[in-house]
Amino acid sequence: MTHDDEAALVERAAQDPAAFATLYDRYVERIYGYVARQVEDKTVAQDITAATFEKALRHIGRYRPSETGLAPWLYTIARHEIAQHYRRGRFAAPWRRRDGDEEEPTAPGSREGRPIESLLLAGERDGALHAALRRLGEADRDLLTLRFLEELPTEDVAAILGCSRANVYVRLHRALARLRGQLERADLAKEMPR
Amino acid sequence: MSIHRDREWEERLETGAEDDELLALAARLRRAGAATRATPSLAFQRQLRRDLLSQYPVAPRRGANVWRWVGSLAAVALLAVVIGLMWFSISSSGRLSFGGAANGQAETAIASLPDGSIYLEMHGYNSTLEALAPGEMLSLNGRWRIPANVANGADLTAFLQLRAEAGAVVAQADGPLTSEYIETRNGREAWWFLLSLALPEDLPPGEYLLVTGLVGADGQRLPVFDQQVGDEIVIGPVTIGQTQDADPKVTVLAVSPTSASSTNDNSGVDSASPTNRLVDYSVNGAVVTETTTTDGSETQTTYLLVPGMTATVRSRWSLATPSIGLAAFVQLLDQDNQVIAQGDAPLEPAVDGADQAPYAATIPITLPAEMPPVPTSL
Repeated sequence: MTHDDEAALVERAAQDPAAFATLYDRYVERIYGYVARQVEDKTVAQDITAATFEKALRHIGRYRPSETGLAPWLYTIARHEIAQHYRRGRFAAPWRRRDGDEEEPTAPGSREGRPIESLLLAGERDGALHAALRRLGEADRDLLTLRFLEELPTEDVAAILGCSRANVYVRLHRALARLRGQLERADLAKEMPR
Repeated sequence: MSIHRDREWEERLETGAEDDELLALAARLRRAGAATRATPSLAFQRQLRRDLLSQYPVAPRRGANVWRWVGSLAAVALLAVVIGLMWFSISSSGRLSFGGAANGQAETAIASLPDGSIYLEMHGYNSTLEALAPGEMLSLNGRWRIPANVANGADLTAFLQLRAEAGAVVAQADGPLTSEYIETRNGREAWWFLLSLALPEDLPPGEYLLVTGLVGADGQRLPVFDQQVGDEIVIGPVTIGQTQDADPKVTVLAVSPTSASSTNDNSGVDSASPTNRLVDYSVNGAVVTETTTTDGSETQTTYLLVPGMTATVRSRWSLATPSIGLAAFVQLLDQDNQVIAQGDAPLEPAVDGADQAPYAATIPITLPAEMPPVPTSL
């Protein structure tokens, strides 16, 4: 969702705390929700969210509303912070699986296989879907997360991933097909006698 | 698929159609996303908002002319001089006494300079502040962000006070800070703490106020920033209800009831799990240093307390179940079992002796300046 007054708020935000506070209030829940899907605990999600907004505040003067929306800009910063977090490997640990899928735990520091959503989200209602999503490659998972779990518009996803809108559609089609394949494989595995 | 059909698929995707297997899968993902979205706590949102706004003014836009930079540098230099002068004047006389009333002069002096102040990042309570009952423990977990040029967190003590409406302190906990460097926070020093406040059993139901702050090695409160600079931060109102039978939300370890003049009964247990055990402890500072072993042997120890000074009780614990988020406390009781002083500290994995006592807590306890010359119990 975009807001008509966003460009004006951004313009003022470099000097006016109230303007930045308004932008913060609009986006903090979305950014936190996105980060919490990607990391292993609440404290890390809070740290990364804080780092994202601190960076946004520091660089708000460089942001050009005419080039991209504020949401994709913030998501881009958050993605970078998440990548930094996993690169540092400070908190990385093999993540716990809840659904009995057969994937091996990945090495600390690897982004592959990291939790697609936080372990805090005890209310997961579609375990098979999330398990299939976790088995996808990082690029597919990232794309599907941004477009569908986060419900970002396609043009925002294109801005975040640095590709064209048409390319996003092509990639979405392929990623959904691969996700469907993972779900089918999981169904077959369940049906096979042990 | 042809280009024409691709575009059709794209349009149907945008409209949320589900008449295709992949489009249905996309819709399923959207629903799963909505069902599993995490939301940040209000306390975190408010704290981060406060932190961010305290960082103004931010860097000017690119393209600003050189005079703006020169002006900014001059302003920063001037600001640094002013901060230094103010800090010096406050350090010498203007700060507040621990537990004392607010000092308006100190607030005014620092209020316009939040960048030189100390901030609190609160990570949460053990329970909601609206649903507490007498006898329960109220734990506060958070980080202080202390600029290294202002103070060394290792020299500071965090305090947590519960006050009645009239301002009287009805419960208090103090504890040390643990260094925690956080790269994502502009390289600032962060100091973690966990304080647990034992609500008195006879606390009348009603509205109270929870405040926290920092005290220096000299016993003086430090200026802290929360919207404006003061000597404490108001966490919020606390509603104390009637005593409930429900289990407390945090397991609380009770320090062994070893008396200064009685026999150790090796009963260092926690109230919720009888198999947790205090293995040993030692008391240093403000007393004659003694180490008492409670593991099987009976020892009688007498301490000589020095009023007004801070003692440190180091305790090591064996827990039935490995746990995090627990706190240990030590209380100094008078002959009527009234609490004279109390200290709390988080229980952390022990560095040494981890086989028998995998957890340890270092608990500072500040003794009142006025103490009657009567036997007391630790």
